[in-house]
Amino acid sequence: MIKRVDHVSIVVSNLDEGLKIYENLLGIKASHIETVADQGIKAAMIVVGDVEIELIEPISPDSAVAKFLEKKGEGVHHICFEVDDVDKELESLAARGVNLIDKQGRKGLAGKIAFLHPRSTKGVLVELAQKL
Amino acid sequence: MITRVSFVGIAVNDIEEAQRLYTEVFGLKPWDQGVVEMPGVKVVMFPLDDCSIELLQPTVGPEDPVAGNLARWLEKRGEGLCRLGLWVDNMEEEVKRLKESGVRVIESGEYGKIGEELGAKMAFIHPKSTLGVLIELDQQM
Repeated sequence: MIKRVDHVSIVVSNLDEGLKIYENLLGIKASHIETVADQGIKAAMIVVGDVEIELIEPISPDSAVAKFLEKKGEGVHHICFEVDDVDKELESLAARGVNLIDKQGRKGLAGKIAFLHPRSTKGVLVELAQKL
Repeated sequence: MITRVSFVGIAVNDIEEAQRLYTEVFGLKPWDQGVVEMPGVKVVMFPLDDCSIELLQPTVGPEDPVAGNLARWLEKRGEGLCRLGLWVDNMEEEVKRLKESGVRVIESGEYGKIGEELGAKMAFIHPKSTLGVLIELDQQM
């Protein structure tokens, strides 16, 4: 079951420039910056109330995020919902015909995470995250 | 001050079909009023604790000067995440702060009237100032 929105992710071509814009716009400083090698991204988190705004910059040219940026340009990249149990959720979504990018939860910035295919979700890249 | 994220907006071509996806597949519950017609757009909200999900289907074409931006978005980028809503505690102060720091704020015209009808003060930040994200600012009245 979906509990809440954990974060909204925005893809930018340059993280430093993106941070300058969003820190000014939101009036809030980023809480931390991290590199996620297996996803080929650098990410910065800005906490707004209970939801995080995540800015991501692709650092590897063949990453999925780099391809998204090339095709669609800068903008909202994905939305992450918090769930109790990622693997259980994936199983029940697959049974309802949803295409999965990750068949099983794996470690990510937001906890144990998995992505659903935008083909099944009206063009929206959806991430599920279970807090660890 | 920006206090919270209020919603994430998703542009869709067929709001009834998209609503089925979010209720039947994701198990979310729409607000009681169902799909609501507003000037230039059909809307349905799925309230969640901190940040809701909003589906938006344009009812006017891309040529409409007031509400055509959603249709233009769909034409260019296809269905997907298109909008971010933020709560502010004081709209006048926030708009002033943003403008002074060089951010392009859209606060006049038809949007203001829609906001009043909904019981909120409303303004938008142009995607040119946000790296491609249309941001809606709301203050509950």
